[in-house]
Amino acid sequence: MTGGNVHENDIESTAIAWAVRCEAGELSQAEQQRLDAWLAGDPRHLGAYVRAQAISVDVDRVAAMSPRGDLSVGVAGRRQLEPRLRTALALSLLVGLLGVIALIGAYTRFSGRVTTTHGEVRRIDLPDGSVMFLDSDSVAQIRFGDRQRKIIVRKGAALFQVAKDAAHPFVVSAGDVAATVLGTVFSVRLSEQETAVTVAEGAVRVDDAAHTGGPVTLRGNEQFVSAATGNRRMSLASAEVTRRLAWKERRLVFDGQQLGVAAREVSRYTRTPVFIDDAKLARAEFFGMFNVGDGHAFAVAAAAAFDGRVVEEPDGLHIQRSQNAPSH
Amino acid sequence: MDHKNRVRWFAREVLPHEVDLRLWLSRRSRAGLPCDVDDIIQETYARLWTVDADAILNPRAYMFVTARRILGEVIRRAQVVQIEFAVDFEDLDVLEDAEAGLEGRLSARQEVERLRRIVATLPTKCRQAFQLKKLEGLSQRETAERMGVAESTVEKHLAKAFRIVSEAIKAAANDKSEVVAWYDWRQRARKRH
Repeated sequence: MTGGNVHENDIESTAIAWAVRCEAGELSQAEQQRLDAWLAGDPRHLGAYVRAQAISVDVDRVAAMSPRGDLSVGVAGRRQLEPRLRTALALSLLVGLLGVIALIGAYTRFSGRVTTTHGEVRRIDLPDGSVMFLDSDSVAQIRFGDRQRKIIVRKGAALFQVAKDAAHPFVVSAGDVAATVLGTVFSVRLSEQETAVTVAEGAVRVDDAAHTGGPVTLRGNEQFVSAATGNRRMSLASAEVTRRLAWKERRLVFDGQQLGVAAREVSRYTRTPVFIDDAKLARAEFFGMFNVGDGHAFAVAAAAAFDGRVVEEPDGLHIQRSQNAPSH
Repeated sequence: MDHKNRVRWFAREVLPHEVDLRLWLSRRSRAGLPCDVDDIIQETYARLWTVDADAILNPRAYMFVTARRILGEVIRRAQVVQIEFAVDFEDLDVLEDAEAGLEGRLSARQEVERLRRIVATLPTKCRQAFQLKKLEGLSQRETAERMGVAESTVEKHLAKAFRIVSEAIKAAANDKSEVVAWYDWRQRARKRH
């Protein structure tokens, strides 16, 4: 054992030095070669390097949780925290760097990670009788404990039918947003720009850690969107809610969305994506209902609706305007 | 997953369990384990890095099982195994340890407080670099300018700060061992009934 001694030239010091170097900016070619050679020399080198980077990421996470200035003592000319440090305030605040012993802690009764691939929509029956539908290309983590039933949507979207159990709140978190269910059907969708909570039935309380203003309670046919540009809450027509949640029935419904938007949504569920090559065509209103995963039917219908044609290319199906207009 | 997301996955799913794994390993080590806990931890991280994170349902259990496998290899390599330890090794219910309610987690406030305490112990220059870069979010160049030193000096200070954070994780495992001894005793007492 090395005990508590800090050696200047041991594996850990070298690993930390490289982690710091990488964080400062792009490595030069020579540096990258030296790093690769060092990493290849011994599996412990790789392990120590990964660990050093993980520690650095974790420090960022904890720093982002602290009230501004809390961690800073005696640095002259303090500046505001950079936005990137402030964005990381996820709702999984309980994930700790170090464990403390809680003998009467939240013992995990049921936990796991569920993923879906392109074109796959999964129904997951949860142990409490609730049902989760996981949308295509999505990742969710299930953590059912003694105090609450928690689902973390890491990627994509999920829809829930929640069994009533007042003693164990059902909490769904995605990015900065946590939705606590008060008995209901609702969905959470996480995209790069924003997180949207849509309620079909019942009521859901939404807490957004990234914004102040306290929790918001959503009722049926309401939507809450958390975005970098600000939060918004809106009422939706019930037909619109049904449309947005239709993927659960493995159907996609379009009633006047732009064709380009529709194509992107269809492509979420199929390995053969559909592209609208013409910008004007992409803005046209489109109506139709399709089975999830059937990109081909969508392409044919869209081409027929706009007098275009479907061209199969290696990257997917392209819808183009017909070449009947003389080009030269 | 790209490199950055995999590092995040490690920070989120692996690092929080390191204290408990160290504790588990150090208990074996007191029973005559012929190797260094740091070596096994590093080797464990390396092996976890090579697997697809999405395929791991329970990272904590996976981490413990991986460490146990490495420990087994080390023992076989060492050839000389104390009989007492060999028996103990057969007896290890690593999953039970991995699942045990020991993984109490710190609240956000406790985590911030813990980091604040570590920052307070850093040497002045080292602390200044760490605060400017990691807490104030300045770039390395800006940090160097603010401190009036070369960027390479900032790197040295940062590396030292990280080393101290890392040592704090190790120290936490040592601090915890006494409480755990009590917890083990209670567990055994419960099993006897």
